[in-house]
Amino acid sequence: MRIGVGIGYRREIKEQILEYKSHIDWLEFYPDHYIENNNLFYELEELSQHFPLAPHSLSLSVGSETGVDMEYLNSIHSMALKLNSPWISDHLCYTNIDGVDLGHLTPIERTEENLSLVIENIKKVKTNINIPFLIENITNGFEFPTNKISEGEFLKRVLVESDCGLLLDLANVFINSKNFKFDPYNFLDSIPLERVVEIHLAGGVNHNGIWIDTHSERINEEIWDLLQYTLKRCEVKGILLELDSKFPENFSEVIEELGRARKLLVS
Amino acid sequence: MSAQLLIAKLCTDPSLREEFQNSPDKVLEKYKIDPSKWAELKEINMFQINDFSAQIFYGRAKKIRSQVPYFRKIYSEDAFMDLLRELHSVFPSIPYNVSSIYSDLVNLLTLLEAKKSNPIMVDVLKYEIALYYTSMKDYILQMNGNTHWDIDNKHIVLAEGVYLLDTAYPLNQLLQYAKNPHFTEIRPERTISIINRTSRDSIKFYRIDPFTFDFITSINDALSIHEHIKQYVTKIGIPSYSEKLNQIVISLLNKGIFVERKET
Repeated sequence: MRIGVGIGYRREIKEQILEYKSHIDWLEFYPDHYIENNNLFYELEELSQHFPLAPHSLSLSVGSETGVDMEYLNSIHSMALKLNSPWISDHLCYTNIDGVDLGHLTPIERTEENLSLVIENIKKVKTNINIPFLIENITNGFEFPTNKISEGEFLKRVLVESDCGLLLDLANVFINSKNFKFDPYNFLDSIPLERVVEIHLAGGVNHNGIWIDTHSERINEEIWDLLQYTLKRCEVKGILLELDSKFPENFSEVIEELGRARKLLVS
Repeated sequence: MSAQLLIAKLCTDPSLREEFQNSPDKVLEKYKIDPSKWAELKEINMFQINDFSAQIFYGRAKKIRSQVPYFRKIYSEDAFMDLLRELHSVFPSIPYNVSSIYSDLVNLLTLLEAKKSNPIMVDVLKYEIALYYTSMKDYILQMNGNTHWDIDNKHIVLAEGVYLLDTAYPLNQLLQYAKNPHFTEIRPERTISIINRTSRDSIKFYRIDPFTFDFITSINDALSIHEHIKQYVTKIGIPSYSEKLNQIVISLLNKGIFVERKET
């Protein structure tokens, strides 16, 4: 079932989200914050009276050799069940490894060994939750020179072999294509788009020739083109706009972007 | 060690990056990297690694900065950034989650103390860490059913001199929550009423105890720290807290810290 067009929940824009609730179909939230501050969970319960809510976690670290933190997963799962969330999502990356907590979505070294590791970790996640799990492609801050598998092939095999849904972040596809100089349409053609459940849209910045996924800008036209291209090729359940800073004074700018995405989704 | 772990260490440890750039073989040997990967790993783009490390650092710095607004003003932004850079080199593991930001703040304090800085600077940082700690540990607003609206003659009044202006919740909204008849109080022995003198409104809240925090062992300590901050804030011209009562109240609610004084 299609969930529609939503926005990432950030407390700074709570009032605007409620004011424009008729234009927003659903919300995504970072569960990490609520795990540490479980007293704030009321906020999500309150929002769930108006919107479907889906947790988008940051620290499952499915690319980590040390495996997935089950306590963390259980906390997210428990929140998702309480909120009746349609799915849980996290990133195809590692964020901590053997005591080093990077706190940042770090690209995985794409080898056969790590592919098996990621697949096992995702399978473990899936067997421990009873709602769908989606994995998101990230912005690659760097490339391992030891990579043996292309990004598209790695993602495809992860999705197929772990039987997992894809949260396709088109801003990340755009940014990687600019920073690592590849054709984003070829990349989209190389992955199983039929597994796309959700799409992320966001605006980044170009800093000294390097694109950074800041979630702070309006969505550029090249990303809108990628959205149009993708939507022609798959049935997407939800589109989500990520905005983490530089919240516009006039929130109708954001609502316009949501409206544009909705138009593409329903057409 | 895996290539992924080595990269994680490189991204979070500037001295290791330097060592790797100068003599990669030594680092690869030291970290027991499979020799078949050496040639390829030596080709890693250190510009990208440095850039990625900077992104990690600034992401972390942004979170730390946001928790210590007064300390930054008093200590100066430039000096604060230097302190953060030092933090980055001394405590290279870069935690992300809320409790880890607390660890960052404590590490920052350790650095500051090691510098034999002005004790008032240290106090201000301690105070702001205490605010963060309490807001993280035990949010004062027990919105999921533990507060209720109450006016009686046993209010505990906020002491003047407690002031932090950054807010997340408008007072009106808080009042609405507190008025919700469904809220019940679960720990009456640990409640506090906070009065908005302007509107004569009052809210009774679950009370958390900031004074069990390591750095502040008594109300007197807290008051003394408030006094230090007050002097410095006045000196550097931050608008008077006394004109900003609502914001003070909101901030206290957000941060979960207050100084209590029986109303006479």
